[in-house]
Amino acid sequence: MSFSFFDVALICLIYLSILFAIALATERGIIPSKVASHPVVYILSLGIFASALSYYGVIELAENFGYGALAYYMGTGMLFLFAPVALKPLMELARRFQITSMADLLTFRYHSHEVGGLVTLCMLLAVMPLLSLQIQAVADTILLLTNQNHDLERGVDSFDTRDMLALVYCAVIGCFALVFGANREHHKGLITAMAFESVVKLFGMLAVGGFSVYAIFGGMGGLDQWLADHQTNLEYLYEPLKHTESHTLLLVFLSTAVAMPHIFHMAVVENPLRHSTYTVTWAFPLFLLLMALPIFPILWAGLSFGSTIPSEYFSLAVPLLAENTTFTVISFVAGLSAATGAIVSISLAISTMVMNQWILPASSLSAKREVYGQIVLIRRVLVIAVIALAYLFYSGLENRFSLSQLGLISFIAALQLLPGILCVTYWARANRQGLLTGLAIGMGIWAAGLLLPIYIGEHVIELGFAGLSLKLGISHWSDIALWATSLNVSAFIIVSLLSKQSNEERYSAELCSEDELSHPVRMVLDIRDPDEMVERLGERIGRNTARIEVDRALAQLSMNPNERRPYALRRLRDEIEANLSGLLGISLATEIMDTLIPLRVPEAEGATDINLIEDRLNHYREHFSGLAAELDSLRLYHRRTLEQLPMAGLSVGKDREVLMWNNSMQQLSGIASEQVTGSRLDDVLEPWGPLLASFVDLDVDHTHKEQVEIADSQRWLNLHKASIPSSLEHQIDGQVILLEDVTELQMLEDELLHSERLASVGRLAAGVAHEIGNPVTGIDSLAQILKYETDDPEIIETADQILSQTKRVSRIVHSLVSFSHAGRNRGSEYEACNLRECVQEGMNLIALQKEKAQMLFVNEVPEYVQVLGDSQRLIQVFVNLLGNARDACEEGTKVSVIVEQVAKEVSFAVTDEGPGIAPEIQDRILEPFFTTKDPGEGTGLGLAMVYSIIEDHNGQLELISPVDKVLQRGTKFVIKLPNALASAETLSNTSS
Amino acid sequence: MRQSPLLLILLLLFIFSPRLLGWLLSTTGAWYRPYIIWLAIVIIAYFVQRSLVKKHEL
Repeated sequence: MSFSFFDVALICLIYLSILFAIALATERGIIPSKVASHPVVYILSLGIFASALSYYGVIELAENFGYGALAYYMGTGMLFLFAPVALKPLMELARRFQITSMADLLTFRYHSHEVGGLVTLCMLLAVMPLLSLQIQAVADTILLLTNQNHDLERGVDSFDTRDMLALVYCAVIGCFALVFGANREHHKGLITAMAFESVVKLFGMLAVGGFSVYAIFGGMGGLDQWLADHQTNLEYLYEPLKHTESHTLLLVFLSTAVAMPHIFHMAVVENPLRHSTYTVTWAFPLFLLLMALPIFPILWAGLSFGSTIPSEYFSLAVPLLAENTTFTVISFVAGLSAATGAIVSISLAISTMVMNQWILPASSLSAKREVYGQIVLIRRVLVIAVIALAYLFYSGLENRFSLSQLGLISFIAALQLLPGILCVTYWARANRQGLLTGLAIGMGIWAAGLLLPIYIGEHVIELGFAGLSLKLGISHWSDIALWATSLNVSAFIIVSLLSKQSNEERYSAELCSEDELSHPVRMVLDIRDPDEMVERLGERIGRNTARIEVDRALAQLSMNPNERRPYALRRLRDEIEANLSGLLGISLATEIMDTLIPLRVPEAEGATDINLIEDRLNHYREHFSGLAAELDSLRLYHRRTLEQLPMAGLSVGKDREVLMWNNSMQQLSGIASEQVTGSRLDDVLEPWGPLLASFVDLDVDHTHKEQVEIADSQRWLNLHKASIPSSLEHQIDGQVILLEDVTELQMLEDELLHSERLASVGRLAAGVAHEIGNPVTGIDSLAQILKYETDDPEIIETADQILSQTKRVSRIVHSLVSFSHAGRNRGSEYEACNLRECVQEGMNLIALQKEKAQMLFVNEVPEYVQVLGDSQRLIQVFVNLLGNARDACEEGTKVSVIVEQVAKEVSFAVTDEGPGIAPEIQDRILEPFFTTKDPGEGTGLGLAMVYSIIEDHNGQLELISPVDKVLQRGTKFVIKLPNALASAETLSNTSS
Repeated sequence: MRQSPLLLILLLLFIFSPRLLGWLLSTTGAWYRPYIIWLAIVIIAYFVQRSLVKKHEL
């Protein structure tokens, strides 16, 4: 059975068309986003790991290494099994800093463009054999299908056609990568297509496995029987496990999952779902298990045919030799799928790395043209270039290497990057000198031992001492891998320990190593606001692009465009750098940011970024256990204690940056903690900024009664501060400030002073009254004598006037005496008074003054209401209040007294319908001698006396004016006095 | 980080590995024995992740 070239081309075309259609359908939304974003799709897309090597080459590995071949899957499986520990830190880093490739990750961590450049070179060299492997697999399987003899010997005629088909295949794959992989956003279409490919190859592998067991051996029983007949096959499974090569194989394959650029890209960068980190721990190893399950049945089925076809193509050869067209096509498509997925993802990943590490840093983008368009164009050219380079490499190989040999060459190169990647999160001391040295040594050995011999052939170079020799070539891959890796690691560690990190590198290392007990330094940013960032960035990436990127970062951080806090601006800078990294690569992004918006190391030592530490601790607290968790609980307890402190408090760093702003401080200032934390103290809103900044600079630790105006009202504050000692000797880390609100105390003091003043006025009044009373009495007596001793009407008239004036003086004097006596508390003499009777008495007395306006007095006080007090003085209260009401209102209007509430206290109100009391004088009407009446009409002591009497009765007086808010009329005095009945009840309860 | 359980697993593996390898490398057994262990690990991982997700959601 054989296929024509036309048949094969048609199969390829149909398959690739389906792939295009699926990607396009996802991009256009025809495949619902729910499906495209499902964790299963993501996990299946990771299946790009299983390239043509795992579909074809792994059978050869099984033949050579027995169960050792499973290391290919187990290494990767183990890495994903421990994904929450092994991969999650990298995923978090990639997400936080928009890291798009492994070269970017290493550039970011080691803060070096050289690292990025060298890693890209290493990766480019490493992936060439892997890409060639895919092309070779497709070309060879096409040849197998089309060759009548099913052999891979190159005929003169078939050579061109096969390679031409491979070339066309590469071109189509390149187009696919161009369309779906070059844009900036998450490539949903690409991921769905990759997931589909994984389904196809998994189905193909299981189908061929099932075909081998049931069609070739007639079921599991038949297979067991065949194995029993061919015991050597079964025994050989275990034999290679005892050799070193199997262990090296495990080491090599362990590194592929994280070090190979395309797998890193899918596993770390494209990971769209946080929770899939957990799902992937079992789902991906299950996928690998299913992929690995058919390996041995296929191997044995292939061996049972005794064909000359190399074992690496047994997946296709078994159905082909059994002449089953359906399974042959299924197998071919699955192999094609495996190769396609790998080529697309590798070329995209490597082109991104080349662009970010080589092209963009070397060439300046035009700031006048749209940056995004320029980047897509560069990436597209690079994708084509990478695939073309891979094709040239493949042509140079001339089919002299098996798939597994090419895979090993590639993976051993990738292994050299593993130490550098591991140290990203696990060893903050590792530095770029160490990485560069180790990598150069490891890659040098790899190039000399494995890459060069591809072209110059295998060599053994005798060293001439101790019988040592250098063995070069793929046959010695295990030794070369071990030497390269161990020397690489040793050099890395030794050089890292012997050399120093730069400040920037240390900062990056601290950002990467979540577990490190480090003190991130609060860097100084020489920038005032986001607009200045736009201005500066515009110089390199164009003003429009800069504006888009700054706005994007502001939106991502939910920040205000007018943000000025240094802490916030540092976060904004980091976010912009992360976004630019996603766009331009970390190398160029870092260079742009370092040049245009540089961070400076603070001059003051020990400026630890407390906010960053807290952020990080909050983020990772679920990972803490044991002592770390207890320490974190302790930290939270102390933080909450400070936050809930019932006194306003804040702490500032040595550089005057606000580090903490507690809840009471928020209430007092009305400024939320989020708004102010990270600000420089001088930038905090008035009056707090200037007040606190000047206090921080003072030599004294306490100031008292600082007057502050808050929301149009005056407040008085006592300020206290203390220095926070640093862990460094004789240094301080900042200051903690407490603000004590003493406004109420100040008000009480003022009130006391006022009362004292009133009391002295009262005493003065009593003295004056006494002194004036005596002569007035004399004048009054003399005037009466004068009146009775003369008949002269003029003199009588004069005497009457004198008497009238002296009565007036006596009345005033009497009022003064009453007012001064009001200060004496006679609570012990109070008895139950009938309130209604007191009111009525007051009304009757007022009504006697016929010369004044007559009012409609309404007494609505119930008969039963009794208050504790002096009835005569209470009558005085009503006389004063009702008299004032009468003087203020028009004749005939209503003045009522009603009881509002009877409880422990009796609350009653005297209400009139007069013009009300103007708001500006309401505060003063209780002051002695304050009156609105005409001179001679009032003494200004009436309401003051009312207030005094009510105070003496332990009551309260409240003024409401106007009563009618609509007409702005009426005045209401609400008086509360102790209820006589309630007091009697309390007394009886106490005595019993 | 949770290193203690990892160390415990490694210790258990170290203790039981001779017996496990002896069982695995016995040529009298079925050829798919390694896959059974693999499947067992996958099932354990499934239950571990389920409990982790539940804990995370709490």
